[in-house]
Amino acid sequence: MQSLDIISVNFWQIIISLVNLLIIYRIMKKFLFKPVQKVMDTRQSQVDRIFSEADDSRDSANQMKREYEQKLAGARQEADTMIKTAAQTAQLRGDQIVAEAKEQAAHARQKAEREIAQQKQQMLQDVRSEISELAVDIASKVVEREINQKDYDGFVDEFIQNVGDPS
Amino acid sequence: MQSKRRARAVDILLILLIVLPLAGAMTLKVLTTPDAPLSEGVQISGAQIYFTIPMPIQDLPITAAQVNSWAVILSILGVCLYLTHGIKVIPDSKRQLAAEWIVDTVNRLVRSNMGEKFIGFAPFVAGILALSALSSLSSLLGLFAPTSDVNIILGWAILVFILITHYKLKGGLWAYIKGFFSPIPVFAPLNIIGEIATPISMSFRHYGNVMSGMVISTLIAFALRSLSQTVLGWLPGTLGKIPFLQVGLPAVLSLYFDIFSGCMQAFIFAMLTMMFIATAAPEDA
Repeated sequence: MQSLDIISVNFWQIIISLVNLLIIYRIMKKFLFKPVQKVMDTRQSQVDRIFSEADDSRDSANQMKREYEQKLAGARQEADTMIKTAAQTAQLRGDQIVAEAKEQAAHARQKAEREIAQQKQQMLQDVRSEISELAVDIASKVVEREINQKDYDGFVDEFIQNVGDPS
Repeated sequence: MQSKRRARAVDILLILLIVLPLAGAMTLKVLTTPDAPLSEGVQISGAQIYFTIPMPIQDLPITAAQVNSWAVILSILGVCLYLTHGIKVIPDSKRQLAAEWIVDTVNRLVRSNMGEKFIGFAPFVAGILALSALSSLSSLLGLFAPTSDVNIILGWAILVFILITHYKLKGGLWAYIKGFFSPIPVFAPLNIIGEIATPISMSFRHYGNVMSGMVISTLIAFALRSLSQTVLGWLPGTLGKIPFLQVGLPAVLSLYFDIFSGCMQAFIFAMLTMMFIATAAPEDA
């Protein structure tokens, strides 16, 4: 079996070797780099998508949270105002009721006082007429004569007026 | 279940595709190697010629280097197919991680040495690395390393030279010609020699390293065999014919010449390719 010399240059062998390197380039590109790159790119895009989705949902969650907080604050304020108005209304109403009650009480007292005064007047009147009658009777009995009732009334009244006047 | 069994069958076929070419090359070598008698001494020669095809300019001898490089190419094809077989978006196998690691590493290497616009060179660089390193490492199987044949490396270097020139011409033919006359016209012969020297130096560096490793290994193995025969030849029967001294030292040398030197030269060749092409391209292109 023959061998080549240790250094021997052969044109066709060089060409074949050159083509071999081109072939190995094609093999590497087609069977290793392309499928692996494709898979890695797909994974990258998937990861990107997942991340952007997560960002989106976080944003929307934050927005919802903000909205809820706003709503909650609004509701709290509303409740506060409601309570305040209710308290005010109740206060007003209570004041009104008290005022009415006071007025009624005052009214009733006035009426009672007026009635008392009236009755007192009446009573005084009665007592006065009684006394005058009594006085006339007594006087007629005492003097035993007919006193002109008409002339006498004025005198008795004057007398009683002076007697009954507490001042 | 059906698809799983089919995937496994494909895996086995691909592993066979990786192993069989190398095994075939080894078989071919074993069948054709003549028994060299010890008395003839050591003989260092190039690749074995299996047969010769008559061609117009020069006859084409099909040598062990050619056959072995084809075997390596087929194996690399098998490895690529095996690594990317059943590749998924969400990786569930170690081989996919290995494939992604390879692609990522080469991409990063190309990106850092040549820049983003040359990222298309990544498969080319990976091809050089794989072909060169595995060709050198095939000597571990007892094969004639294709990288210790100057023709193989010269072919690669000429392809690289073509690429370099292609990128230089992108800057314009006039600029390319003017480049030879800078900084002063007297330098023109030197520049032309320097241009031609690029592929030659690249190929001879790689080829010379692997070849010299092989030569030194052969010489030392022969020397050890002779020494063993002289020192231990008195042992009776076949015991005296066994070269005991060949155990040990050749293994250490093989570690350096076959594994370290082979991988190193593959890396250097790839690095030089990237550097030359990246510097050849005009800045703005």
